[in-house]
Amino acid sequence: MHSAVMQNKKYLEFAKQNTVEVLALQRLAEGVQKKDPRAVAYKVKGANGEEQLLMLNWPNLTLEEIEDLSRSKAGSFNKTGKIPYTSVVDPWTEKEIKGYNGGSAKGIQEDVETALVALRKDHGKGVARKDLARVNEATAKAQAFATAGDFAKAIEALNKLDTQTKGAAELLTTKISDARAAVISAAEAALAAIESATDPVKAKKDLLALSDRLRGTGLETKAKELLLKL
Amino acid sequence: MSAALKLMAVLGFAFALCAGRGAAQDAKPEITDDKPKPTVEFAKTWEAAVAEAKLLNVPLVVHSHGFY
Repeated sequence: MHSAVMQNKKYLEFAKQNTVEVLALQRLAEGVQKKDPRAVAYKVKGANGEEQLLMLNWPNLTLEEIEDLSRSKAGSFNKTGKIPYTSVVDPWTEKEIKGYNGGSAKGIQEDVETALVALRKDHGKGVARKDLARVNEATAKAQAFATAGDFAKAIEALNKLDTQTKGAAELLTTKISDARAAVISAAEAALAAIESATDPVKAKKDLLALSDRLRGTGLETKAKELLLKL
Repeated sequence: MSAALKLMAVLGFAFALCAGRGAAQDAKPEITDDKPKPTVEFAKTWEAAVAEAKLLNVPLVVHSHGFY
């Protein structure tokens, strides 16, 4: 069942366009403790160059992520006590549309296609996965810039996204607005920290450094006013 | 059931839960040099899966498996 569906070449292509895949793997820790050959990990370099262990058979997940998923709602659909079990779930109600023991890649695809018709009828067309990936990448980049204190670059990354996603679904534009709000909130916090600093010389130095990094946040005037006060 | 018995039952359950969690956290998988085969990309959390599926307006497919 594992390779017949989750590693099936046709299903892989189908899933990229039409589903969100979730794993509910029970008792992985037991498999690890018993040195089950399916419960092995491989090493990868993380985004910041750090070493990460991912599970070979579920290759984008860590052991902890799999354990947490099995304890989440994902682990509640199989009430049969038998595995493998597959559920097609409505994301809006989080209720099972169809569930079965075993199941083939072809059968799952047919049920997903039926579910898609109903979902589109009720909620309209969703955003394309490539657009979502672009937004996720840019918001992550913006978050990294904001964490490093470069709020101007964070806003710039999000502004580029505005142009690229013009006319996109509201849920997607909301995601961008939320990311922008988070950047501005972090910039406000950085400005507030300077405002409440007790050492005016250091505060002025920090503010001068920060001022260049506030472009686009709407806090530029506030920073100038603060600079005059110091 | 007396209040003391209820408390003991609750504490016992909490302890069992913590012990289970601890065992899972202690488990360290064997490391292999094998490379993974192309496999579907799984959501990292249930919440992330639901949020993404709503954005794309596609169903979630939950694969239940286990080490039995």
